[in-house]
Amino acid sequence: MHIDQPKFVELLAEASGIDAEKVEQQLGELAEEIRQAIADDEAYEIEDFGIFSGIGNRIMFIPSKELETEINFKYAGMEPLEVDEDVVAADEQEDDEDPFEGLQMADDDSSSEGRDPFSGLVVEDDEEEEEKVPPPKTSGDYSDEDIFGDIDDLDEEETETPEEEPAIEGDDEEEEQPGPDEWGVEAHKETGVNRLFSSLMGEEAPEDDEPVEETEEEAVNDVEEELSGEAAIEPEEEDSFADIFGDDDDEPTVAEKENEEEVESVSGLDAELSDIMSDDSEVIKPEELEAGMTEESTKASPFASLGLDEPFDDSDDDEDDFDDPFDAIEEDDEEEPEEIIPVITNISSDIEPKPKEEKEKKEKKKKPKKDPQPVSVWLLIVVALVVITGAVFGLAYFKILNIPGITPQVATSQPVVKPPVQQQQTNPTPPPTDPEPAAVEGQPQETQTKEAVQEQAPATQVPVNADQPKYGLMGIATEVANDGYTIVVYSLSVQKNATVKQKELAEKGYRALVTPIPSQQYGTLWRVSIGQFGSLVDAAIAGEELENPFKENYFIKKIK
Amino acid sequence: MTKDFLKAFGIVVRDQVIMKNSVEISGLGTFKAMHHSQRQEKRADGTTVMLPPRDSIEFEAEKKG
Repeated sequence: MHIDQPKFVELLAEASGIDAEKVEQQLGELAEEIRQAIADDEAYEIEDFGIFSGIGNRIMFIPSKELETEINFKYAGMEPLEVDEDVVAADEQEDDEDPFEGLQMADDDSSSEGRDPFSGLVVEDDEEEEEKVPPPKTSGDYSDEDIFGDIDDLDEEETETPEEEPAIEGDDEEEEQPGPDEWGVEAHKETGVNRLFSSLMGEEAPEDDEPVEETEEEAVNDVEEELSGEAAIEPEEEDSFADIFGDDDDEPTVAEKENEEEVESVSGLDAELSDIMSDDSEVIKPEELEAGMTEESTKASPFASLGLDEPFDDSDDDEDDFDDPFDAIEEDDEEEPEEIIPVITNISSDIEPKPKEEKEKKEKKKKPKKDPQPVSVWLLIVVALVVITGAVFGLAYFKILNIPGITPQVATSQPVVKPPVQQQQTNPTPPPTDPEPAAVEGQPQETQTKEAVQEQAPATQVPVNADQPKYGLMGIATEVANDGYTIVVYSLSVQKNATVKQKELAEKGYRALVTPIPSQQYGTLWRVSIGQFGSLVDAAIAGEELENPFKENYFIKKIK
Repeated sequence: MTKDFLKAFGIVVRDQVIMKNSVEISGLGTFKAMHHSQRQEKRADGTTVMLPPRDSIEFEAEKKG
């Protein structure tokens, strides 16, 4: 139907309550303003209606969202329906799309074929990469570890040496077994640096030898000055001590007998002993001054200074005096032979530091063990929070606590969704097109209408002919056939109007259904549909054969 | 031109278009209702969907004469 200008003015006058003349005048003004705006390359907007714009002199209209929605009221809330593969295949067959199917199959085959080789290649590549990569990684890692490990270890040794010194000063000699440690302490400061450079530069032997000799020489000098029993080990010093002490020769010889096996490492022993004695000279002297506990060493040191003056007078006493420190040293030697050897190797090569490195690594490993405690605390806190939130959610979910966002309000809305499944069938009477706008009655009626629909369902159980097929356009709607598709011809906002349409369609002989559709914007919509079809194709074919009022204005949907 | 007039203008045009009527305004153009039938569409993921039908409003400007 076409509404021309006079009729439109009449309708407008009725709707606005303004005189028809004024309406016509204002309508002319509106048209003139719009044209003027378009001429000025501007847009003209009417609120809640749309925008008039133009390209050149051509006027275009862009409807507002509100207007678009209201015009599309019938189909509001409808979503694209995914079509079954069988239906698609059937449609394709109808459309002579057999080659397309072949292409699809070919694509599938090619894709499947392509996937396998690619996947195989990918896997092989990965394996090859994994196989190839590790060797360089391992080699590189080892080299890096060696390099950085040496540097780190040396740094650690250097850093740890000051820690060892006070410990040695504070503790007794025998308890610490200072032979290797003290020697290491003194030697590490020099040799440690040398090792650092030697490990980096690869010049171990020449650099290490020199400081060793220096330490040995210094040790010998210390021994000669202090006149300790250690001097008996070396023949030259024995001679000197023999000249000095005479009868004391037996004791150093006994020491030699005991240490015959260790004669090969005499230089190392000398170095250790010299270190010991040098430390003694440095450490014990203040102790002597303070406590006077080590008289033996004090007596030994005066002999060094008085050596030739009083050698024989105090020979008996000297024997005792010399016996004690020497015995102490012998005890040390007996206790430490196993430890002396690693110390010697420690100077000549970098192999020895490994035990220390292991100890250091163990210490490092022990240190990180302390860290997990705070981490575990954090984990406990996080777990506690999760448990609490879970408990709150659980309580809210089971309605023990009322939390708006969590407590399920679906209990009230679920029935709204379920009723549509129970389709209604009523008496048929076909109507003309009456698109009725959304009624304001809307929501209060919704709950009532649902109940009404449920009540009507049994009432509409008109006796069905036994010969009636399960699916079809005509006949009486059955509950059994609600698993298929139907053709929607009306979408109405008032249930009463929907039932009227349903009756009209039923009177015409259609299988008429009314389905409530919940809509947030319009409340509940009532869709009036005809026919029950087993497949979408059957419904589409039936839709094309509908009479004129419905032929161009229908859509197919699944009943359930 | 009052607000009431503009509001009534919008309501009348909408109602007539909903009723599948075309509205002609002299000096401006004609508003029509357009119905887009449901149609199948193949998506990029290979699935086929049936798009629901849709009604829309269309404006045809008056031809100068």
